[in-house]
Parts: sequence; C-alpha cells; structure tokens
Amino acid sequence: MIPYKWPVATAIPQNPAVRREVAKAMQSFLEDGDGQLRQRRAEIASIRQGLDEIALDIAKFRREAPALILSELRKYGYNPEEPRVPKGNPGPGRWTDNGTQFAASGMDDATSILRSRGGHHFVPRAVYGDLPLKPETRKVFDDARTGPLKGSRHGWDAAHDAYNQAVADALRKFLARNGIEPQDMTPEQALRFVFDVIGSNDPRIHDLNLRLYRREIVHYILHHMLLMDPLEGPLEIEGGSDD
Amino acid sequence: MTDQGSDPQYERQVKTFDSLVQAIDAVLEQYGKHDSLDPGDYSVYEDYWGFPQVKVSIANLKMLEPIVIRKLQQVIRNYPEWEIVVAVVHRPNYKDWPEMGLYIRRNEIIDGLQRQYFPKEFQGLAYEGARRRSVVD
Repeated sequence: MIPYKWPVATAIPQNPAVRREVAKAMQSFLEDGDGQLRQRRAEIASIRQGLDEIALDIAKFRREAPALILSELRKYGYNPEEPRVPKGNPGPGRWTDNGTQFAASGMDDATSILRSRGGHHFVPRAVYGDLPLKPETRKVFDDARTGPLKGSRHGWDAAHDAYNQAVADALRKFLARNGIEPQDMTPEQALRFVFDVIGSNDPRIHDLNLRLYRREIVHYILHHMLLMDPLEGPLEIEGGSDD
Repeated sequence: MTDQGSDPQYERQVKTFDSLVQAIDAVLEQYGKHDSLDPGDYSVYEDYWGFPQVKVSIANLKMLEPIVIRKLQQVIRNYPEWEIVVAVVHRPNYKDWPEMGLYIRRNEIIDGLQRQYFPKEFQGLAYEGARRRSVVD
C-alpha cells in the first residue's frame, strides 16, 4: 500500500516563542468563543422558555375559553339546559327552535360580551351579509367578534380568503345538516354556529384564529411585561410592531 | 382584545375604515361579484385590525384590470395615510401560487404580482405609476 501523503506540508512553527504566542492566542480565542457560546445558549434557552410559556398560555386559553364564555353568558341569564329535542325524535339533543325562548332567556343581552366595536368577526360579514336572515339572527353574527385588535398589518397572504371560504363551507353544511333555510335560522342556531367556528379544527379557521390570539398575547407580553435577559438584565423593546 | 370602545381616536379610525370599505365595495361591484355563501370574484375584508389598511382578496384576475385598480386609487386619494392591500388568491389550492398582490396608496402602487403564474391574457397587466416592491416596503 502506498502511504497517503497530504500534498501541503503542515506549517508548525519551530520557534518556541512563536509556538507559545500561537497557543496563547488559541486559548484566548477559545475562551472568548466559550463565553459567546455560553451567552448564546443562555439567550436561546431564555427564548425557548418564553415560547414554551406562550404555547402554554395559548393552550390554556383554548382550553378555558369556552368555559369562560359560557360563564359570562350565564351571568346574563343564558341557560345551556334549555329544552332540547328529546331522544327518539329527529335531531335528538338539538336545541329547540323557539325564538321567543331565546329572547326570554336573555341570550340577546348575553352576546354583549362579544359586542365591542372593531376586531375580527368569527363569521365574516362576506359570508352572511347577503343572506335573508332575521334581524335578531343577523345580530348574533354581527356581535360575535374578538373586539379591538392591536395594529396587525395585512400582507398578501391568502389566510383571510381561506378562512372565509372555510366558514362559508361550514355554514352551508350546518344549514343542510339541520334542514334550515337561512330565513328561518334562529338566534340560538346562529350562536351555536358561532361556537362551532370558534372551536373549529379546520386548519383554515383554526390557524387564523390562533394567529390572532398569539399576536394579542405577544403584544401583551411586549407591551405590559418586563422581559429579562439572563445576562444583560431587562430588555428594552422598541417600537410597537407585532410582526 | 382589550376594550378600546371608549377611545375617540380608535372610534374615528373604525368610522374611516367602514367608510373606505363601502367606497371600495362600490367600485368593485361594478366589475364583479363579491363573495357570499358561494364564492364570487372578490371579497373585501370588513374587519378593522388596528392598522390603516383595507384588505381585498381577488379570486378572478379580471378584477385586476387597470381600470379597476385606477378607480381604487382614486378612492384611496381621499384617505391620506390609508392603503388598500390587494391579495391575489388561487382557490381552492392556495399554495399553488406564491403570495402576491398590490399595495394601492394615494401616490403610488406597489406591484408584487407574479405574472408568470397568470393565464396569457393577464400577463400583460400594467399600472401607471406602479413600481416593484422593494425591501423597504
């Protein structure tokens, strides 16, 4: 076997003083590098911890949101135990379609928690705007929104369009499944559909809603909480962009 | 999602937004059908997100004809500081096309259309006073 010979001779300084200097320089480089590496690791760990906490917040919010909404609705007289279609009848378990019952239960007022001006409509107006809905049913969709949002800038993404198409698909199916004509849709049915949208697992719906929640949480953290860098101390956050 | 209902500045912005949405709708409905329970040619996103913009999604490329865009720019001239974000969408397979669109402002149009994806008859679309998107946009 022919021994392998590296074509370029390794340049090892022969002078001990030069070798000492090189060794010292390498040592100092490694120490600086170690320091930077440690700092970077600490930063990454801190960011990772922050993201984990945000993920937990979002998961907690998703878990608790329906209960919180229901709890608020109950304050205004909403009763989820209202009469439903009994077993053995078509559509067992569904709420009965009695509009007067809706008014008497105070649900009309209950939706006021979702009535803040501005924000994102869970059921986009583009979807129901042209439907011949009863005024009280339309009002449920009008009022079902997040409330004011904080400065989120639009880009050219198709997320809104996909959301609208998904909600339109869902509404068509909801109406067909329950044998409802739009003009006969009751406020209870509209509210049920709103909750279907809020809890939807369709990624076109779920992703946009989650993006909104995430932005609001991040905005809150950036503007209301003191963020600490483990090495540098409090972080100064400039500007108000959520992007 | 905090309550800004009592903030007069916010109320003014929402009012301006609503009025701009109506004006944009009035232009677009002359040239196409808006989305409803069934898909149409375009949709105007009617929710204010706290930034001086109105977003329009265009599903039918005929809505990108220069006359339509010129009329939208005439509308935005009455709303200093606001802009119209036109997103071109490819339904139902959105990911077949990259994100693209226009920013229509009172004094300029930022053109981010990628015409190579369009059918031939729409590849020549051009807008007076438009410029390509730069890193600062």
